[in-house]
Amino acid sequence: MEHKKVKELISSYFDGELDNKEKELAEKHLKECPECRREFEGMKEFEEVMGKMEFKKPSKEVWEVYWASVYNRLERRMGWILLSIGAMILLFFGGYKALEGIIQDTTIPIILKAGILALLAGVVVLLVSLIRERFFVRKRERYKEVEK
Amino acid sequence: MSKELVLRRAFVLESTELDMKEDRVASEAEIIERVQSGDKEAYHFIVTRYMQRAYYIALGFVHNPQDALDISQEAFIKAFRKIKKFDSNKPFFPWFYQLLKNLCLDYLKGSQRREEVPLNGVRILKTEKDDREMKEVLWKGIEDLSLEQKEVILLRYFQQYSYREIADILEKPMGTVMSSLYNAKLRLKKIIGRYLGLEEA
Repeated sequence: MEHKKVKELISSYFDGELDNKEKELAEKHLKECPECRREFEGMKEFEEVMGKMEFKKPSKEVWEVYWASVYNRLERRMGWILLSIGAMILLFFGGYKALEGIIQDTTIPIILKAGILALLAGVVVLLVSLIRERFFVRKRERYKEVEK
Repeated sequence: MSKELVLRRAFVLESTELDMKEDRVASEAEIIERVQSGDKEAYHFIVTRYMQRAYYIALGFVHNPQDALDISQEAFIKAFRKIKKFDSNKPFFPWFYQLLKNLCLDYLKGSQRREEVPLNGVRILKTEKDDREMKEVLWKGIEDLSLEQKEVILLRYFQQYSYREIADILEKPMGTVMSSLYNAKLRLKKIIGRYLGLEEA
């Protein structure tokens, strides 16, 4: 059997992924081949070190409140979305009303009317731009998921 | 090691908690369908089932317990928002894993915070004396692996998954998993060998 194949088998052996037949094959080769035996010893040492690594476990409470935390964040996000939609409707409605009043009011000089109109137009443009940016960011995220 | 798909293993649900008439086994697909119809309680089962895996996977990528927790929860929120697009006949975790991984990679790309996080807050070697230097050498080695190799090392050694399970999570053939793992091991083995050799000298 070729050495590279045996070396892969050795690696799989320590992962507990060999069936009996493969184990037999590997053992037979190891008896005959000092090079692969050295590889085996080296791998054993390596696995011992790797086996000692683990992540620090967080406190139990983390798991106890995990779902509640996800749930709250989900709910809160829904709340923010509703709040934003509501605020936007009010803003547009208020803006429209104010505009209507200003245009119809003959006592306000034209220059002031123009100023207020420009100001409101600016607010609208900025809002649209913000919305578009959010939409764009979402779209980009979607692309990221596609690539693997 | 069981060849069964652990990911597709059925859930046993408590009848009272999901309003079912009698105790019975509900498949993941059934639960996902309930979630897709907006049932947040059904999502509870999914989140509870996968939260620990999600946390440790995130931790493997971002190195910081607080951020790992935050990102894993964010991934569950994102998954809930996108759940309607998910094919409920497929296992949930591989799909979720991709979402989670992308959030982690975004985090790493978007910040330099990682470097400020001390290693000792995150992981330990299970030896009596916590060999700090070895830990750092080894972790640096894992960090320097390619993304594919790093993924298999994290899943194999920190989550103890079988080849079959890793292949399912990454949606890759088992042969690919095996050889990435083998190559990753060779690289890390060399690093450890070099370190131990230096120490002896």
